[in-house]
Amino acid sequence: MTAIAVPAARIRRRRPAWLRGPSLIGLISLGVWALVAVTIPLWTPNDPLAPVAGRLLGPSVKHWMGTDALGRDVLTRTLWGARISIPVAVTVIISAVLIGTIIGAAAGFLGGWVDAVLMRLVDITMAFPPILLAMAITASLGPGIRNALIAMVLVWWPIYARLLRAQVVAVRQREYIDSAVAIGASRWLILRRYVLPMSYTPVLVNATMDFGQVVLLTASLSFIGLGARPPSPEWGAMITEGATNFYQWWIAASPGIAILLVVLACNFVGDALRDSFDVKEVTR
Amino acid sequence: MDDQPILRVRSLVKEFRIRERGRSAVVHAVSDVSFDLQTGGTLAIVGESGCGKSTTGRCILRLIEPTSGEVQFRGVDLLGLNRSEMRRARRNLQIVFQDPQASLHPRLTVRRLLAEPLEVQGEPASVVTERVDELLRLVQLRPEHLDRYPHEFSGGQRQRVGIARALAISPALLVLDEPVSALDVSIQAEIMRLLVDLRERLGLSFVFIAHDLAVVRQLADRVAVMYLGKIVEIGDADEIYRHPQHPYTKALLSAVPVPDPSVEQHRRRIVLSGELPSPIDPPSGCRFRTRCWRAEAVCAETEPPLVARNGSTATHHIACHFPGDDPLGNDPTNIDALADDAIANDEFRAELSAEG
Repeated sequence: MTAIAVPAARIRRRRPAWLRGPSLIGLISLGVWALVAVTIPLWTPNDPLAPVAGRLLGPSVKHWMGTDALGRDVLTRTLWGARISIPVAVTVIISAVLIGTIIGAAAGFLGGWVDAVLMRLVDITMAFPPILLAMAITASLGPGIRNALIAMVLVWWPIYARLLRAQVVAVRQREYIDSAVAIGASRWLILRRYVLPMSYTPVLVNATMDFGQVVLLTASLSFIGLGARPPSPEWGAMITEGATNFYQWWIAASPGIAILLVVLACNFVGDALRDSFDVKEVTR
Repeated sequence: MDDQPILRVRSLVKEFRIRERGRSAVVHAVSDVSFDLQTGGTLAIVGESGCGKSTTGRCILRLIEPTSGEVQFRGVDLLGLNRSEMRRARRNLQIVFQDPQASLHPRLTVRRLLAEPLEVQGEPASVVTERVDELLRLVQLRPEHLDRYPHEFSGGQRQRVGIARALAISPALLVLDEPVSALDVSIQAEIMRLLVDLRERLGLSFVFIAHDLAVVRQLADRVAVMYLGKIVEIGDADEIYRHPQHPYTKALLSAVPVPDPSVEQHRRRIVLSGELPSPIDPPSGCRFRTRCWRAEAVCAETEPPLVARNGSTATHHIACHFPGDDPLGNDPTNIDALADDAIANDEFRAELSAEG
């Protein structure tokens, strides 16, 4: 009997799902990456762009992840890579969420021909594989990390637009919307106070998970030469450089592991966020 | 001025266009509904699920845009108002929903739920705080409830919040859309008492939507019985309960439970067979004929108009070719008519025990 009866106070004091287990590890790991990205110039072990030792040296006590074809310290470059990948991913996600929210909310809330036009635009964009479309846009704008960023925003916003629209359409049918209309609330107030707060959860969850995907896409674009250019310690570009030195595995493995860690952390946090929002929906 | 009804609904029609199996069809949710509501009065709209009673309620408030008709509030046709005029007019007409769980924003505290209508209607902040406290007392909630969320309340308390929110901007007319149907029976009585009390104290007029006649008995002074989008009988509550004319009204009344087991056991009941016909393709003639025990050929041919019947008061209207008592005696027992006076009731009981 005591095994079943858990005191209410203990349930309440339990931390939310996104502050426990894998999600907590993910959050800490993302926090560490962010800290590295901000502070690395202050304590960098080596210059990321200049040769510091012999070429293609294996991992050693002095150079934990060895050196690359130009004699640069691979671990140093990997850590500096966070200064590129993380701000780029943050910018892409925030811009895509903003654009997606405006378009999705307009489509879902206004309905009719506005909805039809905007959603066809979304359909067209989403008909292409994201990497392909991002490549095409970057190629036409010219290679470089800034153009890659613009391309990724253009590829990514339709996901959020569609997600939010679906949610807005569902929330718009709820009775509390009628209750807001009945008291004479304006459409703008209804959208702002009623529809959006009740619709943004899936967007938030997806944005968290997509953060890792954007890091990966940035690296992919750089890998094929459309993102960051070679001297830059961007992870994708570093993997490209490493790919030509097949037997010196550490050159590609080091940025590869960095990407893995960030993507994994985002998925942990995203999964937990989704779970905790789902549970709330059930118990309410 | 006193003679003017607070609410006058004329020829209200609501048709929904839907697509069914690729074809477009029209759902006749409300077909030609008309009624008046006097200031301070309570009109009950009664009927089973899907008869269009809720749609009628929502059309009055323009939560659903009617297809055609007129909804006059104190002589002003609401359907002619533009968006901003309508928002101002909403001050006078409010609605209490069936399920407060669904109709209260789950992420607003009671304080904000009650303050919001006042803010929306442009009340200054100083008035709002005071009014929120007043509302809380009005629906008998305590001050510590102010900072809670709707899901932290019981069903009855939640409905009190819903009522307080509807009353916030001091409306004159309240549409109550089955406000107690989702509650426990014991709580129902509490909320009904609260509503009666509020009506007297604040001089409100009610449109009370319900699915059975029992709930509205203590509250209504006029009753409209709806079936498949139409009013089949409308009249003063006493008339409807004691001398129901339309077979559907009689059937509804026979479904009302009676607290006396001996009466309950012996009364004749009508249990309507079959489903409510589809409002996409309503029956020809009288819409009730497919389930009526008195239907004849004429019922399928011509639709009976809603008219005053010979002998009944001018305010009692029935849409039936054969109103009144069934000469074959197949009508259900009318407990209310029997309970008219104690003697009749006793006679009835004596008769019953003689039979038993």
